Amino acid sequence: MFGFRTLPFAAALILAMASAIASEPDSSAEDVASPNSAAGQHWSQVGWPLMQKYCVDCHNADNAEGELDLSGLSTLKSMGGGGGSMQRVLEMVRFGAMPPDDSDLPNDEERKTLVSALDQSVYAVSCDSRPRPGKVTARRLNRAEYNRSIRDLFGMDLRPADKFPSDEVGAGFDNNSDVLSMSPMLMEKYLDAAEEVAAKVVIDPDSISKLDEHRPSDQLFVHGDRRVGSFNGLFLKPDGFVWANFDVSLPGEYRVEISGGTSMAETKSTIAAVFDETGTLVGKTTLKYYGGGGESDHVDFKIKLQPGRRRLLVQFFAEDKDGEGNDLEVGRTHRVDFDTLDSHIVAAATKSLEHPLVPDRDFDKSSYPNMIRRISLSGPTELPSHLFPPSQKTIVRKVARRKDDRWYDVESAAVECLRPLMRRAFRGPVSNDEVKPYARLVDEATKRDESYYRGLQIAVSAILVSPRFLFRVEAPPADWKPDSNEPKDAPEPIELTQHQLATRLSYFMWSSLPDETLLKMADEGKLTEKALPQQIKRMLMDEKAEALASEFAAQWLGLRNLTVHEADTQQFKTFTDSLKSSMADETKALFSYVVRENRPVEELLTADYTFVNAELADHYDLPKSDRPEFKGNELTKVSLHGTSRRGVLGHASVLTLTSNPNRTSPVRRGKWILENVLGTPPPDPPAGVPELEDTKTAAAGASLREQLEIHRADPSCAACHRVMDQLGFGLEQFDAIGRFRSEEGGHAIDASGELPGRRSFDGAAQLSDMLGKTEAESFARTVTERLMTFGLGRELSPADRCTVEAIVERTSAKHHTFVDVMTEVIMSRPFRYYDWK
Amino acid sequence: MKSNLYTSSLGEAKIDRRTLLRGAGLAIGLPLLESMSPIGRAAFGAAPTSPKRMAFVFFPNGAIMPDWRPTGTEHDWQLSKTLAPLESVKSKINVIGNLAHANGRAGKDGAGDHARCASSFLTASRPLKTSSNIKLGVSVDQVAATQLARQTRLPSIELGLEGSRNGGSCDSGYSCAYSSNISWRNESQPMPKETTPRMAFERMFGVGDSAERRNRNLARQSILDVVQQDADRIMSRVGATDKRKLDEYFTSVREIELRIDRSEQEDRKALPDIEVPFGRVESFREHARLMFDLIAIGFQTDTTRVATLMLDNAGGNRRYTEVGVKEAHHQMSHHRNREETVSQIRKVDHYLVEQFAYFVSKLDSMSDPSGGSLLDNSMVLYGSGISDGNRHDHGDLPIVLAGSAGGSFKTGRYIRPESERPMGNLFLTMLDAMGTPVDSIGDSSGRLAELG
Repeated sequence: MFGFRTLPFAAALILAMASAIASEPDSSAEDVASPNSAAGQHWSQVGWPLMQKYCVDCHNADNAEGELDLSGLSTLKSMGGGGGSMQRVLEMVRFGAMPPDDSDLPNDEERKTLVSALDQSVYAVSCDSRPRPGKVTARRLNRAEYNRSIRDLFGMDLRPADKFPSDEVGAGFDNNSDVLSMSPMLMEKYLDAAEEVAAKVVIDPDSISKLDEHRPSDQLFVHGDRRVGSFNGLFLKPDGFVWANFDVSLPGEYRVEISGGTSMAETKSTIAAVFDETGTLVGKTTLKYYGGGGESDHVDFKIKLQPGRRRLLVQFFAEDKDGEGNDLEVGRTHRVDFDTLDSHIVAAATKSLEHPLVPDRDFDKSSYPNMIRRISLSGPTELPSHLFPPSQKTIVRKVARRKDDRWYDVESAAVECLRPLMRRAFRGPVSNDEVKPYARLVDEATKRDESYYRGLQIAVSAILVSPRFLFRVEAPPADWKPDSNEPKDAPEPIELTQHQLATRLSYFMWSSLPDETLLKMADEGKLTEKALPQQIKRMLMDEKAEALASEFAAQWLGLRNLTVHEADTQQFKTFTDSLKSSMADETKALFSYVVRENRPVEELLTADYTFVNAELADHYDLPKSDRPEFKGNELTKVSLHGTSRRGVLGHASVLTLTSNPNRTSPVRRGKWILENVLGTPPPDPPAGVPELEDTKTAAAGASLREQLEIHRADPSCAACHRVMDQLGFGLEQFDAIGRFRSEEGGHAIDASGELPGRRSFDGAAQLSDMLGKTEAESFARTVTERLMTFGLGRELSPADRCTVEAIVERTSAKHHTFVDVMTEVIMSRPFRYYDWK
Repeated sequence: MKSNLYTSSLGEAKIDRRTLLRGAGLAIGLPLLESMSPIGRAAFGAAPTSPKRMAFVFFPNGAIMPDWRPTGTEHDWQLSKTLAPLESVKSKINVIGNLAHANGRAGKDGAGDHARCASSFLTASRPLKTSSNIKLGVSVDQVAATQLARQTRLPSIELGLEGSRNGGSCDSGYSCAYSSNISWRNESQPMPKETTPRMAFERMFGVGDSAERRNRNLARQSILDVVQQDADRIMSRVGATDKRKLDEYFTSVREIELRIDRSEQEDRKALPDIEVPFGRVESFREHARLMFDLIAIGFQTDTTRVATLMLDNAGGNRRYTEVGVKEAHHQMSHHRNREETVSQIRKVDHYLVEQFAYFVSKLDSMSDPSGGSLLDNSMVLYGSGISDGNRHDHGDLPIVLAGSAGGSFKTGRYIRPESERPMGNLFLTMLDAMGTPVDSIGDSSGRLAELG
């Protein structure tokens, strides 16, 4: 969150305010800070005298208040091209936090002049030359990105990353390339997750048990006199029939096979008619002479079956007529006696199963004209699609040839399946050479006697642990060569490839991989400057852009702290987990609304509407008459007219996460506004400052506000606290979980306060409106900085400041409408180029 | 401290099999430690006696008997052409003639000789002609295994080279269970056989979910190989800061590989030193020899003392193309004495005996802790439940019994009882030698005195 990376300073000038971060040597600083430039002259003639007059008294070599020595800054060169510390100076002066009240104060005109001079010297300098776009280190997918990438890759929201350890946060976001690290433990989790996902997105059809049942004659229920031949054929009288029950678990088409035939060669054929348990003829087939010995004629046909116990009953007919002379018609012929089989017939047949007949060689076959050896039922021929995940079709585009449980031409089939998947997962084109090793995994698996599908699972697992999936690496294309005319120490920045750009776009707005539209445009080189705005709009309107609210906004505004926030539930009985999540949802909903409706970003501060469900409506004590119909837990837009709430500063989420468990904290609320609205985080308190609790004992009976007054009686604290606390006081109308209140502990609430520059307000609504109106630019700058930091996945550098300023300026005419800010961020050089050495 | 004492006293109770094999690099011939051998333990303080082992190897479709039968007398005899591969171990085997399975014959049951061939082979019992409610009898190996149950890790191991068919009828109305199993735990429960060497290996030597773990590790190893190629390709194209990040990836991948490697090594140390491929083995010869190796090592490590192996299911139709036989085995067995077909079957008979001879020689090359070779302390029966495949004879069966079961039988003989004897009688004599005697088995009528 804290500011920008510092550039180096002249040796004499070591500035180190508390928030200053690491510095990196940069040889180019000397050149850009030339004292002969116009900016240099302006500083020496206009800025330095004012600084000398108002600042150096307290910030000099002997007495460096706040560890800040400003005494040597007479020339621009000595300022070293600007950086974190000078930036802080600028922010403190601009904000009015410096100089402090107990010193000589500049008048408004002088302040403006100093701010403008500081501004020019800090930023104009670096912006003179074209700022470098910087380099984003290879980024590992974070948990949110992993989950969403898996979701969009396979069309199933499996959320495997929920089991990963949480990601480190850098520069305020957990997508910071420099802090996202990899460890063996994480690698093992990636492997586990990959295998788990693979097993869910590709199902081996063999693992679904199909029906394949053969009922030999001695397992058939028989009605009527019969004989058993030497090879166990069952010889039936003309009016005999047999049946078998099958337990069908899957609906679909099944193959029925009847083996048998006429008993004697002289009888050319017989008709085997198959009836189901409703007595309906479901199939018929013609059988010839069975062939003697262990032979039989067999014919199969297909029928549709529903799950359940199914009875197939076979009766033979000499001609194609039922007993009453009607034609045998499949689907129409119906035998009432085969619907409900007579219970005596069933009982007798069941009993006889226990005592198989002894084979008999000598009987008169003419009395037993029909022989049946077996009824078989197998299927379904096609497994119902509901047994497979939606990803099955998209992954298994081709099945290798299979014969007798062996697989052939596996590699080429696997290539067809894996190539489209790898293109998607690796977010760009993949060559044959790149696909082959993965396809070989499938081949190797089938050689180990695993199924083709199991092989595909292994290949899918491999794809998901490949660095090309886990990391977003931005390097020049393989055929890229540096321009030999370029100076070696400062080569031209490189433009992202189309696929790298598509990837940045999608992870920025969706926290996920590019969709087919983006990939296709990238394939065709169509992600041009002209086409980008249209794409950005499309992506922001897509429902996947919810990621921007839950990943970007939630971290920017600190909403994630809410989940771990513990209010004093003795005092605040309504504070439940469900309320907490509704609070966060409200803020995300407002953010999403501003995005979708392309509202000015300031509306986040000034919105006179919000989004609530019944729980929040109660929490806010909204008049019952004004409430809309709530649908479940869903949030609905409501007006805030007549309340003190405006924008996010009136959201219970922000008000709660800036409070202590048992009471509000104007200091933390003020600090929150400084950081997240105005983009000017206060420095850490100097060492040795007594805690508020100590002050409290010294002033028992005082109100919180009075206690704070005492606390910052110390001028060393006052400079910052004056600003922070004044902001925080404006929100005192809301208690520690964001409920409206007019008094606390017998003291009436005093919600009056003052913004620097003697801009006084009374109450939260006025504070929000004032911030929205007079600090719109600061807020737009904060939003831009935060968006850039998130979108790039790196901490911003001083050079980026120029980009930020340009964006703020360019979008100001339309009041910084969100889509425009977003578009400018994406169109900027740091987003589309990178430095390459 | 108390708990420590407990632990240590428990810890000394026995040496884990893994402990023994670890680091021994188990070449063939590893001696059994007495403290591990249950017999050694049972006979605490007494002179070590080696356990006896028994194995049964089945081949289908009978043999060309004139080429099988040796010539000469009991002690002065010559191996036949078919049995010639056993020449080097002739002094350690007995060829026994005139043994029969009356229960293999048709009787009133009609067709189905192949189903009866396998099912009667070790049970000497008549299978109920049915495709569903199978009923047979306990087999000789299971009689021994049941009595020795707690002595070894596995009471017995059942192997085959061809899978069983599930359900349905395989031969003239007999359940397929009859044709595909020779080992029967009780009258209605065949012992399912392992046909993949790897699965057999895991069943014999694996612990808990180690098979699954090894499988997963194998997949992971191949996955990590592939993704490292990806990483290499990326590394060659990126700058210094990206390299640092990707190095974290490499380090992590290598660490996982090391872990897998370590666990593999642990496993290898704990497992017999034998290369058993994953998946199916294509060549019949390789397949058969791997299975024989597994039995030999199972015996040597005292993992089990009882084994059965079906070279094929009854009525099996394998084509032994590797010895130039193109027709299917069962189909050929109905040769109608056509010399052309008979000579083909002769090749198959000889080829199968060759595999058995490999097994016998292997056992003879492995030493037993109490002295002698593994073969000396074993009895290994090789044969079929049909003699003449053309006529489906169930008398004068082709039977070789290798090993003397620790001197229980004199070997190097061609035994030919004067009249037909039930196979069951041989089984009873073998069970006596095994130390697991019973009164009868199947249609046995007494001991086979001629062997003793």
